[in-house]
Amino acid sequence: MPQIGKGNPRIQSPRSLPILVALMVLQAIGLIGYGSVQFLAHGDSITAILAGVNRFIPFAVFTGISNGLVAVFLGLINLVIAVALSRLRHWAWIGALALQGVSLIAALMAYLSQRPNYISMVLGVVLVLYLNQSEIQVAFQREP
Amino acid sequence: MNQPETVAKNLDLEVLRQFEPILKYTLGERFYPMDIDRYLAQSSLWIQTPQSPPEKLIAQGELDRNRLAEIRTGDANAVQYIKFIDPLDILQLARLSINEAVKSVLHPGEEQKFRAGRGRLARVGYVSRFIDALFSLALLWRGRVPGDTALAAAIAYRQMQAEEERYTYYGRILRENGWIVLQYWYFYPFNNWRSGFFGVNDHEADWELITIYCYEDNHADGTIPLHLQLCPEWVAYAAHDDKGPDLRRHWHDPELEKELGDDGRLHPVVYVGAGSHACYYQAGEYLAEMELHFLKPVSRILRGLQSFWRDVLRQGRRAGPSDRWVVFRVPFVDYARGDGVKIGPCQALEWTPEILDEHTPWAINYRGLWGWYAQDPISGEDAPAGPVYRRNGEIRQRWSDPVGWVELEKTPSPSQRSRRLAEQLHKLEIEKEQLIARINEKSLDVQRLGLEVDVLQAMPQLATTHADISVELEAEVEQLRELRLQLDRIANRLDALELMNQQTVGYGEGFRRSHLRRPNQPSPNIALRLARLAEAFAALSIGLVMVGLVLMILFAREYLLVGLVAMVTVLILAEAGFRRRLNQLVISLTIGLAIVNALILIWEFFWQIVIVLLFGAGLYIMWENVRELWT
Repeated sequence: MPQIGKGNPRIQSPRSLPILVALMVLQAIGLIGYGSVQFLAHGDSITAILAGVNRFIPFAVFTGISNGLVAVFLGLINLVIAVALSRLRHWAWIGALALQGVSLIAALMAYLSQRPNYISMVLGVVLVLYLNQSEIQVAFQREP
Repeated sequence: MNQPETVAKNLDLEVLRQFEPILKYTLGERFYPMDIDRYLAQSSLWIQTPQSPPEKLIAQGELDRNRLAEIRTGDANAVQYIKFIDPLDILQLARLSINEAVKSVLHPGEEQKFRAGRGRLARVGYVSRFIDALFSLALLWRGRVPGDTALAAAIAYRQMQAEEERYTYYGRILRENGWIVLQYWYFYPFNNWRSGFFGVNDHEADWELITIYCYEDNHADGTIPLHLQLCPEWVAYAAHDDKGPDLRRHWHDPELEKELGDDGRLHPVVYVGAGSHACYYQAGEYLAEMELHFLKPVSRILRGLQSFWRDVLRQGRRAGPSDRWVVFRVPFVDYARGDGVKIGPCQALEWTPEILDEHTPWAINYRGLWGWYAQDPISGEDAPAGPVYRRNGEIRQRWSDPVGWVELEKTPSPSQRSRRLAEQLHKLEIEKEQLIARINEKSLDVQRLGLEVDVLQAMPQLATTHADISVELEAEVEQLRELRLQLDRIANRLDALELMNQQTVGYGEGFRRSHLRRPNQPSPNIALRLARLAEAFAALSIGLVMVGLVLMILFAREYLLVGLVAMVTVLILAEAGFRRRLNQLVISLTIGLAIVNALILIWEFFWQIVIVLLFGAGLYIMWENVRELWT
């Protein structure tokens, strides 16, 4: 089996990789934006909690804050993975698929609870089908 | 038998003796090839007519090869069968079991036991395991050989061998397509694959076959008798009901083991599957996956979806034909370890051969089953018919056309190769000459028509005729090009054959294996984390899920869906962990989720998607046309 080393030509980056990276960045911005909005929407409650005015956090506030935090966290991971994808890192490919899995589960649960997020669904489906293409898999098989 | 016939049979036996295979069995095997006479002496002959109870035709003790060969007529739907062993009653079974247990305690080393080793279920996926559970349950309603029959048959066989130890094969020699075919037929009194080795089926009687394809050595000196001037070129080992080129190996294929006999000749080594008696080239454990007939349509749909997924959507890695989805199959392991009894030349046990041919009455006249007719709809538990016939009375291809059975009809024997080559060269030379003559003629036609078109072009009043003749000319030119292409191809073929004829190019090493598509290979030892635990999990998992499901239906019906999802998730995660395939699991789950989401999107926005697609297609066509205008 040929080894990728100094003497071997670099692995060709798929032409449409920038589109993939752009979509991932878009998804990351969306997640960070959504998380920030959730977080800011409960700004007063957070201030009150931190100031010790409210001893108990209402469930709706807790859910909103935790959802916001998770979304921001996932968005940041998305950004890191998007950068790694542009450098053809193998782990980034698996990471991107795992992230899309999480995103698709969230979209499915939202759909089942009558709060569908079709944009997230479309983005997830397109990204998974793209990542799973044979040419893309070959490009990410080895580290450059 | 008259004297010439006896001489011919002795010569045939001498030929068969030269290449007698060495059969190596797995520890724990209970049945070995035997002669039909002792089997028939212990059996009775029956007939089963539809809607009627079975009728005994010949009682036990009265059946022999001559009586078996008597031609019987009757209902076309009736099935004749031999009955070797009567199921034991409870007292007999208890007595035999106690005897066996006492014997194993008093003489522990006498009969070495079979150890299954790594479980077959640990080697396959969940769906196959679920189908396997259903297949096992189906044995409750399907006709099957009773469980104690194998034990009774083993004891009967052991008694016969104690009286006279003999290992027999039935040898047959025939000529077909320039090949001299040596067939070694082995008759076993019982197949205990299911009850003895966790396999597919049990049935009385078993016929197995090893075939050697030879040619006459034209270069042998005169010191060797004519009937011994045979060179083996191919061998074919029968395994289950398989046929085709995958059964065949070249005599010099490294996969084919051979051992030197006392006679200075090489004898092929055969590894025999425990209980199933299927024949293999290498020692090992073979994963035999049985596709259930009633699930074939579902498998076909799956294969269609797979090719759409891979070829149209270009999803997943590029895969060969062997990487097809094979989910609806029941997995079984055929243990052909070769660590047990060995029979053949230079072994402790040797063969007693007997000749079988187109005039052997018991083989030709008897079309019934050679053991009990279990009336199994899948037929796995029904005994097989003899060497000549299939269960439905048709002649077996391996008997009537052994060359075609392994797709050897396309390959001339080495002794015929140069003659066939010369014939083909001659044929191609003639074709070439005929083609050159046609090309010359066609060239003249084209020139004449071309001239006419030039002349007509200068006459506007004959524009229609000019157009017609131009079309005709184009067609003629196209035909001429096609003829020239054919000539090139023939010239290339002739060059290749000429090279071969001059012995500058021979059959390469690759030729010996180029016919193989999906040959049987021993199953590799899969790397399982915590192997014992993984095996136990594989064996218990499907059953536990089914029990869990029943418990949830009984006691927590409101959580049925959530509980089922949780159980299946735990099953899948644990399995992936044991197999070190968590990455693959993540990928598969994500793809599954993407498909579900895509289906939801199609469901919700079907017409919008159609409109967008049509709109896109319209824009694309406009773009293409505009580009054409600009260029």
